Amino acid sequence: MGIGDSYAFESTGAGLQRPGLRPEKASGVDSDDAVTVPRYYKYLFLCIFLLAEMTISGWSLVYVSMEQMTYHWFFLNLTISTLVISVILLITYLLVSRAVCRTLGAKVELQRSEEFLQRVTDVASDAIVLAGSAGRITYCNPAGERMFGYAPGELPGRDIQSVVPTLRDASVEDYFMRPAEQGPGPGDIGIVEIMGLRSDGSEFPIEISIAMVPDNGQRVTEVIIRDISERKTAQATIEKQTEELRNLIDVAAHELRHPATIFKGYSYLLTEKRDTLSSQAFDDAIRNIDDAATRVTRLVNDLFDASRIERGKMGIRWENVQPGKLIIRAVAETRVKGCKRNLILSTHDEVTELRADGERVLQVLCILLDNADKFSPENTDVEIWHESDNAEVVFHVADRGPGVPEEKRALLFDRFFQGEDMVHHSTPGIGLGLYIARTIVSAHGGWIEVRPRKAGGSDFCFGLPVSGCTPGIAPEPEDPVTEEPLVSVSGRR
Amino acid sequence: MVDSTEDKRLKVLVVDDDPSIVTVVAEILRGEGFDVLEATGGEQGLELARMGSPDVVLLDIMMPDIGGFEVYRRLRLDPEIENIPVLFLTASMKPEYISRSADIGVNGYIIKPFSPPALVNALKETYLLGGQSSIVLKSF
Repeated sequence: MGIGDSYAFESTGAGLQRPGLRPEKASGVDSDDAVTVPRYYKYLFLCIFLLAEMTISGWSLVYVSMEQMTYHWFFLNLTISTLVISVILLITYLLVSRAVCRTLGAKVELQRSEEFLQRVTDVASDAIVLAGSAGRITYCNPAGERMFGYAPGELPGRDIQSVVPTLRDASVEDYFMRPAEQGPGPGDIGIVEIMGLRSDGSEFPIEISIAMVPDNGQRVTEVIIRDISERKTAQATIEKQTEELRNLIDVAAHELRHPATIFKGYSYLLTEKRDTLSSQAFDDAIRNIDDAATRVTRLVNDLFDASRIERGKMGIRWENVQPGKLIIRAVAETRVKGCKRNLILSTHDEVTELRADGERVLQVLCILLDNADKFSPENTDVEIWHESDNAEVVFHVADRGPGVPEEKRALLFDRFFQGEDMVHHSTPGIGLGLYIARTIVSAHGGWIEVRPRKAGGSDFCFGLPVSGCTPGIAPEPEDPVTEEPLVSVSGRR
Repeated sequence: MVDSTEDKRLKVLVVDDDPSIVTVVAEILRGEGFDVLEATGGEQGLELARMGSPDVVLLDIMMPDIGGFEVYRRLRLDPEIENIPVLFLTASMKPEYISRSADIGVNGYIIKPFSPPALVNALKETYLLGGQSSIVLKSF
């Protein structure tokens, strides 16, 4: 196969015209040469017949001219001649048959081999591109056409740079213009990662290997291209998760140092300086130790919940709950934990029942109230209420804190996200609360979001369908308590 | 206070945004004979440093209003309080923080959780050396 050869278009079963791997001219041998080989045997046949005719004619002449010869001798000679001719014909037939079979067999085998190679390249998941002189594409398999977004047969004739633009001019010199006799040039490469270009102009990462295939004194460049978009995405995900894990360790270590400092400091005071401690200092010590223990417990609970969510182990226990009662419980629990803000709740008299996991919804309300308590100025109000119709119950927890910048609202419910710099943060927590809240709400088929308030602050609200529909999982009203896996699917609207 | 300066009780300013940390550190130091000024933020710490004339400042790095490095910078810019020795008391073990602290002349870097006797010794040492020390205490 030589550079610049055009390739035969063979019809496929699908009726599409695809360029075949076999060129029209192969190594200087005409495609009809194979069937011209038996022509020699045709002449041999002719010679044998002529010889036989001459022999019979000769003996006939001898009979006519030599009258003394008997009838018996004439037929004897005729028989011998016929036998000789028959033997020669038989041998010739065998030789011709053998030669024809070999020739036709080789042709069939060649076609079968080509068809097999064609099938191999057709089913290959990587793009296989052959390029001739000056980087002109002479063949591209179906995977390559799909990868770059071209119709069958559209790529041959185009420049290789139309699909791999980062193969710049110098590279083209190296890969395609280098005389074949010089062998592999310095530009011949193994596998590199560069960008490919689709027909719609979009770029995507590819892994490319280039090799020179010598052919009849000329060179063909074989380019094998693999789309590594998914691999890159997976790598980016792993890198992001690794970075998140590093941050988690940093923040968790930071979080644990505070209570550890409290424990260590007060254990010293209570053992070494107990006699000198005032009763007030003693009370402070007990209270601060308890607070520190609570902080550690929350950290552990958050990590535990996040771990269960990640592994799909957290479940939803469906039951009928009353939204107003959940709010009252959430406020009571938050107050008991020492909330420093004024919690103002307003519940409605209606007895709208909600199909949900009451404990999980309560957890969401407590997370939102804790956040409002942490991020609001002291002595400000935190309001909590709900509103409902026949289809949905919407809970609100509204504070007068600094608010959430618009660009951070979408990220707020992501795992480990914190409004401030994670390493410089001074507020307790590791950025898992809202992630857990969103996951619980999504598992109920609901939505959660933060809205700015007109007079400052944020309104964290989430809606749950009254019927308790889970994405893809219908609730079973007959069963008072059923458990469904908690899925991490965003149901935000 | 204390052993080496019988006639003077050392006054320590404790600056940390976590009130419980401030409380426990203050209790430890009072138990050892120090006078203690308590601040729960950078701004309040700067104010108390100017008004209270502390002998040593124990300063947290990660605070929401003004970070420890900025508080330190402002302390050094004020001629009346520029010579007060400062020790960072922080939960961060970041090597760049430790080296940066040494570069800008912070007198000590104590990592939470700390050993109370070691903290007391570090404060005494810092005062005795007149702010010429550079102590790094890792948590243990």
